[in-house]
Amino acid sequence: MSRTQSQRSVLPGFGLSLGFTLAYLGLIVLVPLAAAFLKTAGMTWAEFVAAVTSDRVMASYRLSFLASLAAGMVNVVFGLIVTWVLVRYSFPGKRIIDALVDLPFALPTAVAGIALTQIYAKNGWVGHWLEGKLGVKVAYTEIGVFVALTFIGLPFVVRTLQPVLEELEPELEEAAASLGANRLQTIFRIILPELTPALLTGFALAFARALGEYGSVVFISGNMPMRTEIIPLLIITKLEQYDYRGATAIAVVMLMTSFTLLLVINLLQKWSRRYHRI
Amino acid sequence: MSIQATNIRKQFGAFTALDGVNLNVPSGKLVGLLGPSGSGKTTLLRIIAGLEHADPGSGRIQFHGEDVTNVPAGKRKVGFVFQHYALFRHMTVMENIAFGLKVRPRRERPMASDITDRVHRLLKLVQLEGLDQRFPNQLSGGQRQRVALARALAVEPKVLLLDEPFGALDAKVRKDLRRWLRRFHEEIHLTTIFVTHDQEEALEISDEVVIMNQAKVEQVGTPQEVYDRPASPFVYQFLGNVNVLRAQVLAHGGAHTPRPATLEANGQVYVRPHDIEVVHDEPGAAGLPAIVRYIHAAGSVARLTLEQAQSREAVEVEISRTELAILGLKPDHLVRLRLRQGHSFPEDYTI
Repeated sequence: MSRTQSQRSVLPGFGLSLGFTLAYLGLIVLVPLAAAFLKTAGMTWAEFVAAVTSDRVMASYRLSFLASLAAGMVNVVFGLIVTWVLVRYSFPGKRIIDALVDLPFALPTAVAGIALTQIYAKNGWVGHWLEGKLGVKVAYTEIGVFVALTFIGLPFVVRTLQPVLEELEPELEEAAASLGANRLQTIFRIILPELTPALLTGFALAFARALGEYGSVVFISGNMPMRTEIIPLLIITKLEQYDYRGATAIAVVMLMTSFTLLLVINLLQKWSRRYHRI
Repeated sequence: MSIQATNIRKQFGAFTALDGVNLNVPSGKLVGLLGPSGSGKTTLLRIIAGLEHADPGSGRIQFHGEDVTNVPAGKRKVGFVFQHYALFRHMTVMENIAFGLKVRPRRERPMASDITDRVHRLLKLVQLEGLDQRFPNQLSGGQRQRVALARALAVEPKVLLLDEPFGALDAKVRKDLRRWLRRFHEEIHLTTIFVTHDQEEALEISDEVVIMNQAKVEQVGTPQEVYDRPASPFVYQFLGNVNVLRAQVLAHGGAHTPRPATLEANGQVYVRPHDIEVVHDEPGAAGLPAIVRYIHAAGSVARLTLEQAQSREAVEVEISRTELAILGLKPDHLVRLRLRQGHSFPEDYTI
């Protein structure tokens, strides 16, 4: 939103609030990030490249980004279904289910990680069935990482989508139906396009959260080098070895990549709302 | 195509929306479904459209004699226009109007070029040429309503149903659009039902008005019939301003009415403000004595508020401004009121 000096708003204070916003963001977000960049500035370019492109680091980038992307996508699909049920139907226990959705927000991530590991381990409730009957190993594999990331990302999609779906007029569906559209056409041509901006936002939030997740993953992943190490874990490992520069170098690459991805998602989201412009 | 609804009942929990309603709409007519909010008129319209279903075991909906009670909305060949337009925001005007054609199964779907042609013809019909690439958010309320109408017409419906079509528009646009709808109906002669709570709107443009109250149809007739010969006190009161005078008082006051036979001994007489004549209080003059309290002379007619000399009850009267000037009325003048025509209903009739 742009505004010029000549416009008078009923709520003045644009200059003041913008100043505050910049100062606040600077202090809380930019200064710590800048410190990370400064720290890496002490390295030579060759050292930097070597630090961030070693095989072990590359493997963890791959795991972190792919698992987060997959978890985000799965959350979009299942989050949409959960939200649909919560918004469109009423049934006994709806409030409880609604509250359950928020649990991954509230639970200490380590608790979630330990619980998931217990369930999915070889002798766990789900794990022994999965491994015994289907031969699928979840705990201490990439799938485990993906499961943990899906767990913590769900509320982001549901909570972003819920208000939008509540606002969606049932008349739209009725209009489509009276024009002769069948259910699938109504879903894919009317409802999903209306929800796309919210779905993209939910995906971006879940994805970003998954990238930074540490606590719940380290328990279930087993942390095997080259296989199940996520980036945050690698950074901690470097820090424990007093390799501060190496840690920040990885962090810087991760930051830039995440920022680029989030920017792309934001642009996509803006594009999907293009019909909102007047 | 004619529409017949027979003995339609609909219950929402403890609330009865429709209580055995019958409706018969002749082919090619523009029918106004009029009633206060909660009277069941929108529910009836939605049941006709197939967006809602009457309670099991209750009556049928027939289009041109054919039973469509169990036909889904999309197969009834009904064009439905929603009060808040329900346009698809992410589609352009063109895509909105073409939607009903594009979702048809492949073998029934017109060719892309035919669809474009038809959309342009419809845009011309609703006077929105050149706006086909706009998004609904870029249009005014009146324009959006016309896009909604064009979208409903694109599928070549046999019946057009409009739910409070002008309800969300401002007064001026409302008036223009409803006259436009009347002219439009003259051109295409599609059987049309529109729901409204605005009696002026219903009386102005409908061929026939159906007045509903508390889940029932109160009266059906041409605008003139229902206005001149209301079937119940409710209809009388709903279709414009009305004075309720006690018949006894009138008898005492010697007010002259042309239909004294209809007056019950203890009944009430319903009189429209413009059916009362005001004369000076001269010795020997007949009529109900009343005192002028307020005179509102802004507008095409002068509205007088008077107080009956005996009962102190208020009476509203409308006279022409010329008449007001000739009478030279001022507040606190004593005058006599004569009824040109009035109605009475049996006493036990509750409103």
